[in-house]
Amino acid sequence: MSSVAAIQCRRLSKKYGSFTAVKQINLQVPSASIFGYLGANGAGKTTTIRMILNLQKPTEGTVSLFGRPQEAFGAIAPRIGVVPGEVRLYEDMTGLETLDYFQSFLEGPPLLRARLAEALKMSSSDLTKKVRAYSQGMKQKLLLIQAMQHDPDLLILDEPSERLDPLIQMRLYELLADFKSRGKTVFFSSHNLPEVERICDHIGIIKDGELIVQDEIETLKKKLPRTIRVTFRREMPAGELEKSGLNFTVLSPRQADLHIRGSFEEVWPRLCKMPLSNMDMPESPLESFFMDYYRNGTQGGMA
Amino acid sequence: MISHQQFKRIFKSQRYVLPLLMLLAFAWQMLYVVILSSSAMRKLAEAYFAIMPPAFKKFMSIMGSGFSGEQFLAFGYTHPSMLFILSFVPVAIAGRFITAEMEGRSIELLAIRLFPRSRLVMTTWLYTFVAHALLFSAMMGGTLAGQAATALSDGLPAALIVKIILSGLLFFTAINSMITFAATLFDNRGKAMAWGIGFLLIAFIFDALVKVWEQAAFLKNYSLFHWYQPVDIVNGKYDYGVAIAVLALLTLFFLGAAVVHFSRRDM
Repeated sequence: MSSVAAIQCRRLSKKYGSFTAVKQINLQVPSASIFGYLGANGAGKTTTIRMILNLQKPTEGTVSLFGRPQEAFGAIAPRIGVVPGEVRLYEDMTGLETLDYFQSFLEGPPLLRARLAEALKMSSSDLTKKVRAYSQGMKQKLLLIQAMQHDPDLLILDEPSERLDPLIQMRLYELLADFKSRGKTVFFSSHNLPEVERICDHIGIIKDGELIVQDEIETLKKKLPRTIRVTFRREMPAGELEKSGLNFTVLSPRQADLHIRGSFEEVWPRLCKMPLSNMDMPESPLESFFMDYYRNGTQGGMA
Repeated sequence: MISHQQFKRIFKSQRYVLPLLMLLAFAWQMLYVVILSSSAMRKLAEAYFAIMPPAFKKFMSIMGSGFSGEQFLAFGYTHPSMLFILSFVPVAIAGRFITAEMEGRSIELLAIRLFPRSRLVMTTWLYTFVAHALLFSAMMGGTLAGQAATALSDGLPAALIVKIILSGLLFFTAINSMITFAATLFDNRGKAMAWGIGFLLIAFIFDALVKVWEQAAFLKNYSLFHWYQPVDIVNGKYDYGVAIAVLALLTLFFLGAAVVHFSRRDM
């Protein structure tokens, strides 16, 4: 495992006329990690990816990949696999011809093609069909195989699970976890928070072109206030809840939201003394944090 | 400078279209010889030439009052239908293999595999050059095969045909560079093709005007199509030195501009 960041962006900005799509982003994607790059549509995710891939020139700032500047992109590119956001594949080619075509620019055989095709349920008869006969899901699977077949060190995926059915999404998550376990890096853009929370170990959130958060997911979760919905066996007078010293918001005589900051261990003994019937987490802390940002543009009380 | 993978892909995608166009070009040039070789059709052509308005004759670069088989055959190389085929090749190829790559975002897959990025431009340009060379060869083949089959006495000598097709190849190489440059400017294939076709149409109409309209004759050196005149080559009125210099300059300038612009532009 290398300690050099797989992707390092410094003060990266992109302007289109007077509109600033990406503002002074400082992004660091550690090697051997799965980095979820989260943001709503139009937040600047794809523009960032295009600058990382040398497809668009930054108005300001620099990008380095594996510690090497963008001028050396040609030498690094064979170590990269990419699934772009909305790409139109060559419809006159078969799936296999498409894979062969993109592989032909690289040295060596497509080491993982067979394994990927099996995992993503692309049979050999599917691969011999013309791409024009493919469904959107099949095209996405073909793009994924194309990106990963040469076993790259860095995978850059722009909303890769779009158009995949839930079973194939699970397979994709397993493949990405396997990539990471072998010391590879995955940079993954999405607007689907549960997906990012499920498979990524690092997260960056972009809003209106600004990187508002960048951290390890576990560290971020610990910093965030959490809410647990508590149901009691009997009606609880407000005074009794206050006496507990815990931060409750009463929803009904038998139900309240408990807001926790810091360690859960401090709260748990006091909570156990209460007549609990049920505990539920209506929203993950990350989700409520993300939604707060998108609704109000505030940090949602992050510690 | 060239990507053999991309070249193979373009060639494969055009494996039916290009032979069809070559067959058409071959047949077209052969047809001109057949018309000349048939006495009835020749008489009809001669009668048509005799009553043709002088402006038309000027447009076709026909010299002298009589009918010349060489001029007639040379005109086949510059007939609007042949010009259309030869012009449409760069417009269609550059539109599909440069602009459409950007429009469909497949450039994002190609640009991380093709280094430098300009190889895409050079490969597309080279394919069109090869296609033009093959089309001109087919046209020459049509004339020669027709002349051999009909034993035409006043046909085009092989040396003149070679001069015609070399000047044509140089001319359409310049067009190829211009259209390739136009293709790198746009993200929309339809727009790129419309601009390409529009530019060629205007250039063609401008050439017709400066030929037909005496007051505008002084502009003829500024007309693009003035530099492709097979009938002038037959008449010995083609200025090879200037033509080669102008067309080579246009080719280098626009190809260079396409390479530089495509390498620097945002994808």
